[in-house]
Amino acid sequence: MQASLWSNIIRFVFLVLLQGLVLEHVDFPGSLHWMVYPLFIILLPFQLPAPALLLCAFLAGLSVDFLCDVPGLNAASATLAAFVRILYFKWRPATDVLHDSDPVGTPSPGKMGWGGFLYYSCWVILFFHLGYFFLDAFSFQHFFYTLYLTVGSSFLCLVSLVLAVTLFKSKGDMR
Amino acid sequence: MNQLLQILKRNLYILVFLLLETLSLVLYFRNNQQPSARLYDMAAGLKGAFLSIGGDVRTKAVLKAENEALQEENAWLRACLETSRIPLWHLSDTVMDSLYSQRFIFLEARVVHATLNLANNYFVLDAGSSQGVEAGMGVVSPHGIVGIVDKVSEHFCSVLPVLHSQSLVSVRLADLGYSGSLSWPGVRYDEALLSDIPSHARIRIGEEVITSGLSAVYPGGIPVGYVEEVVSKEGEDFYRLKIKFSEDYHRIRNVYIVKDLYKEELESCRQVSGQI
Repeated sequence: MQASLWSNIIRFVFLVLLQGLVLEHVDFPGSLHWMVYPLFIILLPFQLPAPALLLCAFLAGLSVDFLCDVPGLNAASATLAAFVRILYFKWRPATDVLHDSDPVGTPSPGKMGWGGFLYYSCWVILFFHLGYFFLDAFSFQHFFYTLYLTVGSSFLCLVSLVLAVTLFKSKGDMR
Repeated sequence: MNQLLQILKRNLYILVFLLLETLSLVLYFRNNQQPSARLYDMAAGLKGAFLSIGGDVRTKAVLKAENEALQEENAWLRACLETSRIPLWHLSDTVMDSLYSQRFIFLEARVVHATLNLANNYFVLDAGSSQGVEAGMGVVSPHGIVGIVDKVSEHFCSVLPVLHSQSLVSVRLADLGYSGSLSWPGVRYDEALLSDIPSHARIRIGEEVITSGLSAVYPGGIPVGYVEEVVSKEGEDFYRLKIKFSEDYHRIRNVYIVKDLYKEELESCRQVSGQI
């Protein structure tokens, strides 16, 4: 439990700094945004109470906001992503995805199977980016362009998730 | 009562979600136009310093001095241009030739931070109030226009670039002379929209677009871009033209902040005529 707490704190600091100080200042081809800190929301432990989960996501978003001068934008999308995560585990029977009936620890392919893990991550990532880009554009005028940004950036994020999970896998768990 | 509490407890996360979401949205919309002033003041100095270190690393040390010398010379040459001056000969009844007073001067600056892929972009320049920069000044680059100075700290200032949803610039077709307003539809960083050109004008694709000089922000005649496509349909009274910017905002580095020495006089004159 103690180890899990520390690994989550380290993940928070590392991902938020990486996002706010480096990736927000990198122009990616095709105007895409490379978001990595939603990984933090995806990898928060199962046993975390829902309000605490929302608060963690909100704080992560807010920290990125403060680092890159768009107060509220990341906070709103991160909170939305955390909410989607909560709903996902509420509406989908746990036995459907997870091998354990009352799961503990970090969500990972080891516990949920690659299919289940990616399916779950897709929902969180997609809603995060939907929130982010539609709030940023704040109109449906360029609907398909915004949709393209959402899908493209979500894909990037998913790729970084798969990479991170594969690279940092240790003893069947992440970091 | 107990049941009510149970329901409340079970759905606490919805309340927390709504609360946090509202909080972030309030934060976002109060600062939608630009980073909030307070946050900016707090972070600007620190962040500007951090970013300009990054910028310095990127500028090759050997080229830096040379660039600066050239830029200084450019600022001086730009100030010498006729478009930067105001004729004084209406005051004189004898000599009608080459009597000009300086109207625009150009301060050099470098872009230390720029966003291009937001709907409301912003740039940060390494010149601030200690160099005489004030909010509302125009910013131009060697190949085009950049935007308007928005917030100023001691050594840095932020610029609302033309790549901003609220941006509106008065421009003119160089050959035909019709003026219209240039806005940014927000998709591509190299394209803008020029509206209010009367439909009897015979537009040529590739025609140059320059600043009109009708505002105190930019001197007239600064290149803005080229007509790329006529978007409006037949039968409309005004054309809408797709413009390609002459400046590549991806590579922008050295810019000039335009100071209009006659701004106050012009503003007061405008206010007086506005009151009448």
